[in-house]
Amino acid sequence: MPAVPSELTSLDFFEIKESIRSYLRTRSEFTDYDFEGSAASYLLDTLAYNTYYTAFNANMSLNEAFLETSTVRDNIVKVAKQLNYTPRSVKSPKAYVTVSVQTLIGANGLTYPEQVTINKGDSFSAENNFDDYIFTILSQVQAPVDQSTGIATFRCLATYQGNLLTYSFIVNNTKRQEYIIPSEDVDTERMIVYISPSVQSSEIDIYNKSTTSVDLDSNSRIYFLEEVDDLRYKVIFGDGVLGRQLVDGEFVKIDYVRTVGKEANGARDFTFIGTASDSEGRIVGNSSITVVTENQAADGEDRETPVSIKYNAPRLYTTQNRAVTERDFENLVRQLYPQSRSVVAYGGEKLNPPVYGKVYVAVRPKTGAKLNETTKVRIKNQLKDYSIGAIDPIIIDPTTLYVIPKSYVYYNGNDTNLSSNDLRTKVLKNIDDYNSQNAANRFNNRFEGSKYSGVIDNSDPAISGSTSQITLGQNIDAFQFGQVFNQCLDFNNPLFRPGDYSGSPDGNGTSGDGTDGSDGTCKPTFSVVKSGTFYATGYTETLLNNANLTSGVVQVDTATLSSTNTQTLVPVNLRDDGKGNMMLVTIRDEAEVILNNNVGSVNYNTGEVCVGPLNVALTPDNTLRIPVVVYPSGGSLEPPAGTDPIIFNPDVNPIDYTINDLSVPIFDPNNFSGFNFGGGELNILDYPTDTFTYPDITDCF
Amino acid sequence: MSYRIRSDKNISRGFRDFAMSFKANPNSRDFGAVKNENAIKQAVLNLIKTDIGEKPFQYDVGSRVTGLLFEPYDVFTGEAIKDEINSTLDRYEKRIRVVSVNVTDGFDTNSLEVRVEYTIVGERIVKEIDFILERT
Repeated sequence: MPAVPSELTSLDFFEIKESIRSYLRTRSEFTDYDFEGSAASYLLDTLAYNTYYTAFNANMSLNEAFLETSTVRDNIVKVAKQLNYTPRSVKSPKAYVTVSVQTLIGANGLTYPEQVTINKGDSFSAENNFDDYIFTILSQVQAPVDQSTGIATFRCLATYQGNLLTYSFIVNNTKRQEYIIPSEDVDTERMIVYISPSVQSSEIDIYNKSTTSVDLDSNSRIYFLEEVDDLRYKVIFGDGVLGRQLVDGEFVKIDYVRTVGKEANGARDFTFIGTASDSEGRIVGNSSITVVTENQAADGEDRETPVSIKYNAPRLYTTQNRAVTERDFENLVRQLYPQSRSVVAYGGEKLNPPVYGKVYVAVRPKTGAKLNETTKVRIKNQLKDYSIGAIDPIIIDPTTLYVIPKSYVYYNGNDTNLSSNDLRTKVLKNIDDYNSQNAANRFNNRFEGSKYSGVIDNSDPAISGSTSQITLGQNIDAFQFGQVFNQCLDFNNPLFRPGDYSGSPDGNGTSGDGTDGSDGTCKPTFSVVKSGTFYATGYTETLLNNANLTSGVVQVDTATLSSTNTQTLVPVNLRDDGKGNMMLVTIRDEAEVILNNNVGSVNYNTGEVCVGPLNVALTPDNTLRIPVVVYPSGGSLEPPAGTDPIIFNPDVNPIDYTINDLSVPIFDPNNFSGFNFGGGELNILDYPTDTFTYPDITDCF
Repeated sequence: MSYRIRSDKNISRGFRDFAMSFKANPNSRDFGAVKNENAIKQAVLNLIKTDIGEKPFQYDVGSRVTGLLFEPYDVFTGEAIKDEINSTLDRYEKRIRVVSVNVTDGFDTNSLEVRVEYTIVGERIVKEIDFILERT
């Protein structure tokens, strides 16, 4: 056997040792290498260990050289640096407080002092459910004293969690100087860099952070920021070509906030623990200072995780600091507003009707359901720096597309100790994970029923399979109470056409034999569009009591509707009639009454549901939304443009097939009902479930 | 007339191992080798003196004798050492069958004198190896 190493790429100790042994087998000098006690075996151990160590080291070092495979944060940061990506630092939570300071009559005994000053770096203490935190003011603030009351009021004072610290350097060009901030919890957004000609000088320049070299010249007062080893940030000044070069002896002072980040979000109950002084130089006692929390602390963020850097760095690089494609807008907004949970951008040309020249960016924040208007304007203005001339970015609130699955999970009860309830919990946990992993990237723009079933089927080895019926929901929300409105919801997927399954598409009878005066064909018996309950203006108890309801299905003359608030309104729902029209219905004496058979339309081919003209008087929870659910015909769903799909309120019913051989149909229109869903967290209904039950029609079939 | 058929497989090539001392031969300037009986003796000693976990990635090779030397010595510890030597050789030194292990305490010298009697597999003569165990 030739003496060629056979395991050159091996990273396994025993393979390496065996490789050396197999070489020794070709030699006759020594024979004992096979016995563990032999000296040869000990020598082989040492050699193999050394080889193993070297191979492992080589493998690791090479892995660390690439963004995709590196695991050590410092290395990830270094590779990302080549893509001009600076990882986001920890971000300090921001809170707004109003401070009232009661001053004393001045030295003249007649008037109050003119103003009160709070210096930068003065602090507040506040607490959330976890701990107490220090909040600080980043710049000196002054407020005039009301001469009638002696009170100075600082309205909406912005405070940031952390301590305001200062680090300074004296420029020394004779050595290679690095300006590294000696703390790992620096909020780089709150950093201020001051340069003065010397330590004593009162002439101070503030330098701004630059992320690009465009428009820079030798006089630009800028600095660049980089993350270096051990989570420290390094400030880099210009070289005299791109940005002003610092001169020997100049004094660099950096103010920064060291913060605990996200942990302090939600801090409230602020107390001033600094020093306020009046214009006569007197210190105002803290007992004379009252603090009211206007907005509790929010927007704190942890530093960017290695996983996030790996994801964002190449994507931001592809945008090249320009917003051209939809993905560019998404990546830039993620960068500009790190608190976003998901960002979806789409061109206005995809809307119906198209709106050219606009890009719509739907941003869902990590906390709360919607962005406030100020943040929207800020993001829009920042985006304009990147977007192409005539393109107008519009920041909108995302529309949620609720994917509501009802799953019947078959399992072998003999294969598991889990109870049916435990199994349900296990499956729900898996669905929850699947949802949270995919919600941010919109399930890759397709919600696949088979993938979803796979998630369920893989939840437990005892599960043999499952049947899932998937419905989609959106809220009607473009209305005001008491006003007539029209709104179309685009579900973007074909719906089941009831007329193809029951009755006939144009049927108008209920008995199927013509005895009811119809042409002998039955009308469709189920709906694929249903809404939650609400109250429609004019449809009162009195109106219905006076109408002729004996036949069970009555058309109320809308002309007789009178708007009156003194009478009791009846709860109503919307549903389609199976022929493409939306109807307003209610239930009286356990039978359905159609109040209006034309309050909108359904396009079963495109999934477009239009509602209106309709006048909503009230909703049960007093919110401006009415949920609408539809029954799509396909199992592979494409979310409509501008909507964020999430799995909502999944219903999991485990069935032990060894004791119950119940067969669940894939399509079951009678197992489909409207219900209310809100903007809360997954699986949490934030307002009362008000299930709409649709009465069975038994005459036909 | 009878023939003896010897296949290559059954030819004993003898045992040959490095000498643990790694001392250079003054003539050849090469390190020494130990053969057959001596190679086995050396392996027996190596195994007993190797602590569990000492060999990289082979955490079950070796014996607990070194650890037991640091226990307060009594007759039970002596028995434990005996058992440990027995089982270690049984597991890792397939070339021998242990006949007996004898541990004698040497209180004056702070050491244990151990005598292991064994036969080499395929031979009938009982060999013995004496060594002293000390805390080091």
